[in-house]
Amino acid sequence: MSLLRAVLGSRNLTIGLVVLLLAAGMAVVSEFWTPWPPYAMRIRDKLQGPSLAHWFGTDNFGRDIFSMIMAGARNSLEVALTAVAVGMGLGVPLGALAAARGGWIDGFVMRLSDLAFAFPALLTAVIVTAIFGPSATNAMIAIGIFNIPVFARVTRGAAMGLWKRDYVLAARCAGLGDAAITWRHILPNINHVLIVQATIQFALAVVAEAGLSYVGLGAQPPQASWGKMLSDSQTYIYGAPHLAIFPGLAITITVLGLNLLGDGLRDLLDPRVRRRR
Amino acid sequence: MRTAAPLLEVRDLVREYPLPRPSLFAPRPVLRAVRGVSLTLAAGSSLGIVGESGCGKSTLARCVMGLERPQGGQVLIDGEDIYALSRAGLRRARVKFQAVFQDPYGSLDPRHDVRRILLEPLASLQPETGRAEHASRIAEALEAVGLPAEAAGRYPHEFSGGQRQRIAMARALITRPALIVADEPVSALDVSIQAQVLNLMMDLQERLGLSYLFISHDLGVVRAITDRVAVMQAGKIVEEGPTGEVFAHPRHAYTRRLIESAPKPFSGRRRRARAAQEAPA
Amino acid sequence: MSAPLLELDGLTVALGTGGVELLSGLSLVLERGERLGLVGESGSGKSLTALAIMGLLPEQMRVSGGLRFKGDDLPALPEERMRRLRGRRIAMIFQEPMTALNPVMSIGAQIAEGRRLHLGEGRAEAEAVARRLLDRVGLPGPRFDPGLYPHQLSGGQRQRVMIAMAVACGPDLLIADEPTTALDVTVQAQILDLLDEIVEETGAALLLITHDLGVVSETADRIAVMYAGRILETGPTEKVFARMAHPYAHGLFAASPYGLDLRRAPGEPRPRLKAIPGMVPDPARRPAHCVFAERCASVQADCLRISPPLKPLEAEGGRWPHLVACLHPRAGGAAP
Ligand SMILES: Nc1ncnc2c1ncn2[C@@H]1O[C@H](COP(=O)(O)OP(=O)(O)O)[C@@H](O)[C@H]1O
Ligand code: SF4
Ligand SMILES: [Mg+2]
Repeated sequence: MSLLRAVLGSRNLTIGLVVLLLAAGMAVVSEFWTPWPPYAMRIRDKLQGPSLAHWFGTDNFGRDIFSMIMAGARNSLEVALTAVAVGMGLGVPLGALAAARGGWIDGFVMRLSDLAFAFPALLTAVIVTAIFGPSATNAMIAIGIFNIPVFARVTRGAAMGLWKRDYVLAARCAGLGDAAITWRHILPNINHVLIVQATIQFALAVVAEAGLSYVGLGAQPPQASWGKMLSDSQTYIYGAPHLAIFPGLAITITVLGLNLLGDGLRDLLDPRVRRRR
Repeated sequence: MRTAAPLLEVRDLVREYPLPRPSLFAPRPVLRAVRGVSLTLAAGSSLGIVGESGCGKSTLARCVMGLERPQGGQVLIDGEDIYALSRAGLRRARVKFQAVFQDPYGSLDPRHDVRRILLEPLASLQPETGRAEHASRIAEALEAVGLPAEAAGRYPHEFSGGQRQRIAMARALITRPALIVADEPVSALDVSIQAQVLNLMMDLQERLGLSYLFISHDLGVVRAITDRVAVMQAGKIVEEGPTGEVFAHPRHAYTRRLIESAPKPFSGRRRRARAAQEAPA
Repeated sequence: MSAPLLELDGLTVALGTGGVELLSGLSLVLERGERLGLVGESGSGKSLTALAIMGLLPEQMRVSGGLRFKGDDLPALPEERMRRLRGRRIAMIFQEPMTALNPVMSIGAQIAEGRRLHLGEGRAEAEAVARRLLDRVGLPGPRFDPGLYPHQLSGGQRQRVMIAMAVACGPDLLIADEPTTALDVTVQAQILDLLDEIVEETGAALLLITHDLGVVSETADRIAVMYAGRILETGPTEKVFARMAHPYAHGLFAASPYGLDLRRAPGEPRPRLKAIPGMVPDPARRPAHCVFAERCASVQADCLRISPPLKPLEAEGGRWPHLVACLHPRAGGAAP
C-alpha cells in the first residue's frame, strides 16, 4: 500500500506516530494495569529515587511515579487533544469564513476573537468552572475556548493571501462557490500552518491543564495529570528532582513526537515535497 | 435565433471600488477602475486590450468573466446579460466562456494534480458528463495543448512556466467554450516560450473557432495575435480599430506615445521619452 | 596601457567544487563610459554574472577564471576591501525597487547613507548631496522631499531613487539588472533615458542586464548574448543586430513579436511566430558539445563533437571585434 509506504518512508512521521501511540497506549493500559496502584499512598516509601521496584521513583506521598505517569497520560492527552479539537473545530471555520467573505463578517469575527483574547485563559477557565463546576472535562472546554481565536486568526491570516491567487479566480470561473473553494483550494494549502499551530497549542494545553489543576480547577485529586505532577513537584525540586524530571520528560517527548508527526504530515500532504523524496 | 448578435458585447461598463474613508465622517471616496467601457467581439475573432498597469484591464476581464458585478452597464455573452442571470443560469452560461490568467505559478493549485485541475470546471459546469467522458475529455484537452497524456498524473511544480500555461489553457478549453478571456497569458514567459504559447493559441483559434479577449501590456504580443485592438487608459477606451490600422496609423495621442515608447530592435541608440515627448512620471 | 576597468577572462562559476557549472568561461572587457548590454532569457546566467562581479555569490558557489576590476583580482580580495568597493566603485540597480529600498527609511537618508559610509561625510553634508541627486534624477523639490518614504512614490519614481542611490558615491561601474522590467513602457523609456544621461555625465561604465532585445538595441553600445551560462555572440550592437550570426541570437529575435511580418492576404491564416523548439537545458544536463545544438535548426555532425569557442567573424576586428561561438554562423541579416 502506497500510503503505508509513504508513512514508513518518512522518519519524522514514523517516530512521531510511535511516540504518540506509546503515550496513548500507556493511557489505555493504565485503565487495567499499572505496576503499582497509582493513587495509593505509602508514606513509608516517600521520595525514593528510581529503583528496580519503583522505576521512576516515588513522590512525597510514596506514590509510584511511573504508575502516575501512566495514569496521568490519559488526563493530559484527553485534555490537550480535546482542547485542540475544540479550538480547531470552531476556530478554523470561523477564520475561513472571515477570509472568504471579508467585509463586516470579517470585522465581526475578528472583534469577537479580540474579545476572547482579551480574557486571560485562566479567567475564562474560572468562569467556565464557576458555571459548570471544576472537573477535567470543564478544563478541556475552558482551554478549548481559549484556542478558538488562536485558530481563527491563524486560519484567516493564511487564507487571506490565498484568496488573491489566480487559481481561486479560475475556480470561480469554474462556477465554484466560497465553501467549495475553501474546502478544495484554501484549506489544503494552509494545512501546514494549521498543523504547526496545532502542535504548539497541544503543548500549551498540557501546560495550561497543569496550571488549572494547580489552582484546583482541573483534574481533581487524587486524579493525576502530567502537568499537575510537574507543578506538585515544585517544593522538592532540589531534594528530589526526579519528581519533576519524569513528568517533564513525558510532556517534552510527547510534544516532540507531535512536532515530528506534524512535520511528517505536512510533507506527506505536500505534493512538492512528496515527489522529491 | 439572433444570428447577428456578437459573441461578446460590453455596454457602458462601470466598475468602482470603495476606498477607505480619509477621516471618520468624510464620505467614502471611490476608485473608478473602469469608467464606461463598450466593446464588441465577433465570434471566431480576437480583440486585444492594451494599456499600462492600473488602467483597468484586469478589472474589465473580471467583470467579463462574471466574477465581479459592475456598478453600471452590461456584459452580454451570446446576447445574454450575464449579470441578469440567476446563479444557476450563470453557472450554465459559464460553459461558454473560460479564462487564462497571467501568473503561471499562481494560477494552478499546487496541491492538485493536472487531472484534478482539468476536472474542476468540467465536473462543476457539466455535471452530466460521466466518468468515462471525463477521461476522454482530459486526454483531448491535453492533446490540444501539446502535452502528453501522462501529464495528467503530475503536479504543477513538475512543469516549466510555458508548460503550466499550456495546462491553464487546457483547463480553459475543457468545457469547449466559445470565448477565452486571457489576462496577460504570456507576460511571465521568456520570449522563446512566449512564441510557443502564442502559436498554440493561434492554432487553437483556427482549429476550434475560438474567440479571444486578449489582455496585455505588451504591444508586440497584441499585434501578433489580435484582429482588433482597444487601447485603454485610466479606465476608458481611447482608441479601437483593426490591429494593423491602429499600429500603423494611431489616431489618439496616448496610442502614439505607447507605440513610440516601446523599445524596438534595430532602432539604434536613441532617447525615447524625448521622442515620445512626455512629462516625467 | 593601464588595466581595463572590468575584465572577465574565462570566468566560471560552479556549484561546489567540481560541481555543476552555472557560468562557463565568460570573457568580456568593459571600460569607463561604455554601455554593455547583457541579454538572454531567464536562467541564462545574467544575474549570476552581476552577483559574481559584486562578490555576492552564495557561499556554496566557486569562482574560477579571471575576474578583475582595475587590475585587482576580485575573488581574491578580502571581504573588507570588497565591501569598500561595493557601493563606492561598483553600484547596482535592481529590478524591484520596492523590495530593494528600505521601507522604513526616508529616501533622502537612503541616498545619503552611502556617502556617509564610504566618504565619511556628515549628515548635513550628505543630505545636501541627496537633495541635489534627487533633482538630478528628475524628482525635484519641494514636491519630492528627501523625507518621503518609498511607499509614497510610484514604481518609476522609486526606480529614480534607486538610481540616485547607485550614483551617490560616483561609482566607476553601474550594474543595472532588469531595471525597467517591472515598469510600464512609457516609464521604462524615461528611466532608460535617465540611465543613459547619467552614464554620459559621469563617465561611469554601464552593464545593463535585460531579456529585451529592444531595450539593449536602444541603450547599449555593445551587446553580449548569453545562453546556458555562456556568451554565444558579442560585438558592437549594430554589427550583432545586422548579422545575428549565432542561430540562438537570431532565434531569440525571430521568436519575439518584433520579428513578425504581419502582412497576409485576406482569408489566409495568421502568420506564426518562429518559436525556438524545446527548452533551455538544465545546468546539470548541459551537453559537452554546443549548448544550443539540441534546439538548433542548423545543427551539423561537427556541432555534436565540440563546444565551439567564441571566434572573431572578420579578420580585422577593430577595438571591439564581433565574436560568435558557432561552427556554422549565419551569413544573412536579421532585419525584419
Ligand atoms: N479589489 C480591488 N479593490 C480596490 N481597488 C482595486 C481592486 N482591483 C483593482 N483595483 C484598482 O483598480 C485599478 C485598475 O486595476 P486593474 O484592473 O488591475 O488594472 P490593470 O489590469 O490594467 O493593470 C487600479 O487602480 C487598481 O489598484
Ligand atoms: S555550433 Fe552548430 S549546433 Fe551550435 S549553434 Fe552553431 S550551428 Fe547550431
Ligand atoms: Mg492586470
